[in-house]
Amino acid sequence: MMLAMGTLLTINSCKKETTEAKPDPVIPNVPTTPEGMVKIGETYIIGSHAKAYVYAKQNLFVGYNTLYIAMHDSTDGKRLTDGLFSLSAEMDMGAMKHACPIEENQFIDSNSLMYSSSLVFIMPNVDLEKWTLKIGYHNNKNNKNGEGILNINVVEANPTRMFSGVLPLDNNAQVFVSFVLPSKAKIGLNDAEFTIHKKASNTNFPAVNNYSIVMLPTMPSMGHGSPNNVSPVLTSNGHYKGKVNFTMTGLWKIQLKLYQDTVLLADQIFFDIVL
Amino acid sequence: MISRKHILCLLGIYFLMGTAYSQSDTSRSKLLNEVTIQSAGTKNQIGFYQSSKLATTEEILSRMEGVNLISRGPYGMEPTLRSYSANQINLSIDGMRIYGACSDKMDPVSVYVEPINLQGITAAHGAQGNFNGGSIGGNINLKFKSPSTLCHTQYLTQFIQSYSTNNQALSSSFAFEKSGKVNGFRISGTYRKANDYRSPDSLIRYSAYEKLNFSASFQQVIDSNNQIRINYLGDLGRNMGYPALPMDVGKADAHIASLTHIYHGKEQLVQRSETKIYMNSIYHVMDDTKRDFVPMHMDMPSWSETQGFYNETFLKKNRHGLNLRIDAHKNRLRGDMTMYPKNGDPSMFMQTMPEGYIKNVGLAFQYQYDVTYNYYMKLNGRIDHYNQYAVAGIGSAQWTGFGYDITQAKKDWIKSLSWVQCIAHKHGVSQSIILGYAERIPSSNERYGYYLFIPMDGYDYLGNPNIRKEQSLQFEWVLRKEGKKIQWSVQPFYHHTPNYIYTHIIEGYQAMTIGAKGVKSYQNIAYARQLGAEATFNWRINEGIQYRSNFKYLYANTNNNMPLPLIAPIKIQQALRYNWQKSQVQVEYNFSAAQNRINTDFGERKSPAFNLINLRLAQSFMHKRNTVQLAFAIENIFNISYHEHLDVGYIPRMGRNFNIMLGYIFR
Repeated sequence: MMLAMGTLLTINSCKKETTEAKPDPVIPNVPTTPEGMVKIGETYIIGSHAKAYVYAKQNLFVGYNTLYIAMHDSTDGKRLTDGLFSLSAEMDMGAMKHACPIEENQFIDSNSLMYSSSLVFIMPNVDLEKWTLKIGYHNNKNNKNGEGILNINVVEANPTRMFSGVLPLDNNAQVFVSFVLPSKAKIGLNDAEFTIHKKASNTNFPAVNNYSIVMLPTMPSMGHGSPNNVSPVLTSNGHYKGKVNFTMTGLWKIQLKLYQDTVLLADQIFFDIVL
Repeated sequence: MISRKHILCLLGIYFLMGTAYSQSDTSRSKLLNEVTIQSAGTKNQIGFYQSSKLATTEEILSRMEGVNLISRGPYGMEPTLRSYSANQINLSIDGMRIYGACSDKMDPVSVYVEPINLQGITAAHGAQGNFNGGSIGGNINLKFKSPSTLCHTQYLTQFIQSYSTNNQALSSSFAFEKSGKVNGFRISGTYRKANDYRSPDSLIRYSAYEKLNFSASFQQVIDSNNQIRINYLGDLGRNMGYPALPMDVGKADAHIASLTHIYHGKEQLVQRSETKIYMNSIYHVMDDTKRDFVPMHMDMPSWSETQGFYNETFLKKNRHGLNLRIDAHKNRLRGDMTMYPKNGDPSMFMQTMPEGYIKNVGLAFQYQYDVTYNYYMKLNGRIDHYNQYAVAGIGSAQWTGFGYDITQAKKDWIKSLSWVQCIAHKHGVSQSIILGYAERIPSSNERYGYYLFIPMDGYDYLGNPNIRKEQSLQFEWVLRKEGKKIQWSVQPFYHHTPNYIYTHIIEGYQAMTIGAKGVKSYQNIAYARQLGAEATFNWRINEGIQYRSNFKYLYANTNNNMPLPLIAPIKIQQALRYNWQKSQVQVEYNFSAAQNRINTDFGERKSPAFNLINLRLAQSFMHKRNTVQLAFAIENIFNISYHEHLDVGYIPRMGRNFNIMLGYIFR
């Protein structure tokens, strides 16, 4: 902290003499939250001399979330970019514990120098029932493994961004359909993206890759839809991508119909979006 | 843009004319084969075209050859030339381009000129009317009255008031003009307020209106050749009802300003040159708050702003006359719509007219050559470059959902050429043959309009950014007799219009407007053809009695033999006038045949024939140089229930109406 203040003072005092201030060579102990993100929390990765700073584009909600993790050396505060990352989430409901669908990514993003993972939180924190993240890191600098625990808060999204239901025609599978894109819709043509996962066990939530989707956006206030929508089709790993056309601002309701082969599994899946 | 080659070519003609020929007495008026009516000075026309001193500009227009009106209510009727409307014709004021702001065509620019400041109306059909701007249907130009700069100082004050019993309509106009040796000015104003009118059967709700129109012009003489004129016109409309549409107009403000330089040559090659820079802005707000049944309240403001200039130069040498024009203008158009759900859901916004620009540069000429004393020919041409695009924003983003980037400019060259030959026979009989070719660009509505609801057929309309220009091949024959007692003319024509812009239903698209049937768009069809005729017959029976009549007929089809929409049936308008000293009696008899050739695609219904009779009486009292005029009229004497075929929604017209007018002119 003293160092940081000292640097600030130096920059200030230099300003009058030279117009070119040298970039700050020291990474501050508390990194600043990247622009456009919120800080979810921070935790030491015990055993690997690392500290994880966890960010997301918005506060965590029930549905598809992507976490961005900046890893720092816990002693000198420098950014760690060489290591293998892992993440899992757990909901402790007292009588039972369960995980959630997750897309892990061991490797760092070379542009942002952050690790990331996407998760579908399938329920919110309720009283004493809480979500925790378990972050694992193998620090190549010291070749040590470590693990950290972070309590997080997950709230119900408004409007809702995830549908969960049991589908009798697919062997009573419990499925989770998440509305990924657009996260912030604009008028005109938008990318539309959904993920579908199944619950195989309390700890295993595989991606569903054998459904097809029919998407119907409507404006409930006026009772009309829009033309030129492209129903999402599977890309990979439970992700289905298409296009949605919002012809005006206001409240839109996106209806999804899920099919397996030609069998209609569910058609009462609705996502509201306001633009 | 205009290439240097074109300018050089025109300059070449300029110099050729200048060196090769000497003076002649070709009159400029002969250069245009057009109908011009003057509201001042020519007593014989005013009574017929302008049924009363406070008749609206639309009423005057409706009596002109080949002019019909599309009505959406008693206010803001849209003039058509033969079968052509909207963007197919060029409707200008004093040579200035003005674009209505309303995407539903509630504000044709003819509403901005009140008869008290109307000098005259010029209507020219087809390609030969394209001097002011490229179109296929022709041109209607409304000319402002300007102060005269005479050799001595003169004052003129005019008040006119009238009252109509049917809709308790009060109209008041005034004008004050000072003309002088070095400068002159004129101010005028009109206020109109009307309640809902009555048809013979019922009260037509939402037909009331109120508006204030005011104008000022100032003219300064610089020297014996040069004058400068400044003109301003404001028009403020409030709560104007449109019974045929689901909404009214809450507010419509127009401001029109120009600065003009006029050069008069004396016995020189350059006889006259006029340069004008102008700007106008129109703000238009639709209103549904007065309506009983409103499924959803909407705000619909729209804006239209135009800036431009033109130069018109008339050169004359011997038997050659050449009128040249260069002009340019830029228009910004935008129409918004915000809808408010009753259940408290978030409001919904879109741009029915995506904010965009039209930019245009044009060059035109009219060349007349008097080959012999009784034979002359004219060649009229115009070339335009248009650049049409939307700005990046919500309006253009909307179109991404339809696969179009409408910020990419659409560029079109619009060409027009016409050739007129006229032979004068004996006894005042002359005949002309006119061959023409013209093009027009698609309107902003046709290209970029976004779910515009048209109540006529009950469809939402989407533009088609890829639509191509419309073309027209035209043939016309004019036979005319100008006698002392009898004047008549017959004017048949045939137009073949390739790439005619026509509508079609887009299958599978849902309408946006609550209650609309579906969505339509525009496409170029192979062709349409229009034929018809106008005829006039005027007979001065004796010193006191005069008879005037005109006849209009149109027949128009698509290539599939579907009648075109909004085609007026046969119409005969007749007036018999008796003048005795300072008194005048005029009986008018308007006949409209039934229209059974209808366009069912456009939701048209057959319209029955009607006979309408009006009676007008006028008495003038002179005292020194002052005049008081008292006039009384009974319109629709027999209180018949009728509508014109071009009336949107077939709302019945006004029943019997008594009108009284009092006018004063002080000099």
